[in-house]
Amino acid sequence: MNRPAPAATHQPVTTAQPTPLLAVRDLNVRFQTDSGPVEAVRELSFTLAQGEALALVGESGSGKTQTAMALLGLLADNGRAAGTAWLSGTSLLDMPEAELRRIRGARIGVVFQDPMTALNPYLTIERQMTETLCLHRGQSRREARGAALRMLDAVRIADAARRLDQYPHELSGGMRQRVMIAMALLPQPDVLILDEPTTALDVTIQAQILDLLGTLRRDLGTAMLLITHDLGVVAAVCDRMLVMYAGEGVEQGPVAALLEHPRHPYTQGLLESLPSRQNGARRLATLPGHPPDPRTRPSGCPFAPRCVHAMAICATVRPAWEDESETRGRRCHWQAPETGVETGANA
Amino acid sequence: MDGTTSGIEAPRPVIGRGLWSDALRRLRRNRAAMTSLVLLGLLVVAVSIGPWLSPNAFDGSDWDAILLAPTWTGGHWFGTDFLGRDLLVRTLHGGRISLLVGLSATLVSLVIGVTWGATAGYLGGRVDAVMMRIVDILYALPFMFFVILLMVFFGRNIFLIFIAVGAVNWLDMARIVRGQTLSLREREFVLAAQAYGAPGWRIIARHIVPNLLGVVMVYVTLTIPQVILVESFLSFLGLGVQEPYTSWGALVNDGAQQMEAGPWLLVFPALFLALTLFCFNFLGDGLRDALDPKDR
Repeated sequence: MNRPAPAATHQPVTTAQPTPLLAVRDLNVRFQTDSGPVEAVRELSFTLAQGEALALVGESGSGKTQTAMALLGLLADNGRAAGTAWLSGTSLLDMPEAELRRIRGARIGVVFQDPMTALNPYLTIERQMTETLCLHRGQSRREARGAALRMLDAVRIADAARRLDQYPHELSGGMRQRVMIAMALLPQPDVLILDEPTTALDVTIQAQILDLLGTLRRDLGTAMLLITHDLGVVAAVCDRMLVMYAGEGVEQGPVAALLEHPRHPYTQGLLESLPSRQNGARRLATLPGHPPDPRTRPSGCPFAPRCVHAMAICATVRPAWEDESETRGRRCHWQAPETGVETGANA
Repeated sequence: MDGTTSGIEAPRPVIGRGLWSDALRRLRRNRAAMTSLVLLGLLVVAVSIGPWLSPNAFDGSDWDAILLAPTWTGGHWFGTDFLGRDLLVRTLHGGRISLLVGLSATLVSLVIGVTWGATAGYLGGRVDAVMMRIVDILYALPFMFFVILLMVFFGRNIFLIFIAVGAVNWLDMARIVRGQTLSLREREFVLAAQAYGAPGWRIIARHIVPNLLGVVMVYVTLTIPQVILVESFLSFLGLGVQEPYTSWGALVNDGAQQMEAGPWLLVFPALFLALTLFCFNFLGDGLRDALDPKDR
């Protein structure tokens, strides 16, 4: 990175493990558009340990998906990623395309949001699933078919052998998503990125998929980066969460701690806006306003216009990241109470 | 679950029904398309073995039988031309050339066009721009000029005709394929394939081309009649096949010139030509309807 370092450098929040599997520091994703450069992600840092599940939480447009795309080198042509991202000691951001292709799928897998469109309608399930293995391990179709069968069983698809010969349109949405998960896990990647894996599914199927993810994590030990805007999903599956707003990380920490005692106004706002059975039939709380247009981001904290605790300094000085403990950190000028704020939201 | 007394039958085995078999079923229901298919099949059989079955040779001049009108008796069902050659045999024999040129030129344009278009569409950016500008430039070349040039350098050769025709037709195919590829490229399964590390050529071959085949197939069935017409046009101008070989176009040309002496000389070849073109068009329409994803 050749540009001058920002005012405060960020130290990644690490867990007990000495060398995390995935370490991202000061990730910047910028797109060159007709109206000038647009920063989708700013100075984002996080780590992912082996077997850990980290949630990237934020509303639409907060830069969550672009973070994942940047790690995989799949940004659009006008996008550039800066900063550092290390996967077990290998730098991802400046890797040549040929090497990146070897990593994609084999070491970092992706499950996309919409199972209807992420599967090729003209190919059978088998052909699509075996393609990863044939590509990365040079396996024959028959060997790969066997592995695909076993994985379909692992994701609890009944009658796996027949399903393999079917086409995507013959499977239900939930089954398709399981197939996508199976497909991503086949080459046994170290990290699995899931981009809104349950958004396109109905609630009962969502529960099954989340349950499945929990089981797979336990059995396979794959680390997971779960991108979502649904706090319920986060609570069900993840160990830690990183809340993003307008392309920046605003708070990070263990899920339980953050959900019960958030220390950033945005996180509090998110939790308060969750419908809660305890609060009865009340008007839902919302965060007034909307996220800033990335092209015209104001100086200072991007959340300031909507923040209930905004102070004079928030409009002019962008808060730096502070690590509050070994496991938590946030980016805010406001001094939150020690134990955070009781939100009364369902954790 | 007690299967014997519950009365619930075992679920029928699930047979994966691909999009192709689905389309085939829909095609079968289209009567015009199926009739066309049958007629085309008969035509291919007729032109293949017809000339062998006939006692007349396509180039056998019979000075005693010049310009005979068509009769059921006397062995000349379609009549004869000014050299006494049997028109039926000549029509069938000419059909070989016309169909052969049609199919092979289409094949040439298919292979070149799909490869060019899919590559340009997938790679995008400057490569796409350059490749498409080349197509634009070639488009601007006058076709006749190109054909005459070929004839001058290589002499009049039937193979040159279908190379010439194929070499012009691939431009259309390339444009269509490029357009389709541009939209297919944005589909999420392409991103998914990139996400598991598939290289570009593999994505084009295994993901993009199968999705293109529907459009390509339809376009092929519409290109074949176009190509046959072009060949007829060339023969009409005297740039096509050389005597004694003939094609439908050449026969139509000769027939038009001798219409007053023997109208059958024009009618029969023209009929065959028109029938073939209709059949290909109906088939193309039927395929387009059968493969239209919106109707599923």
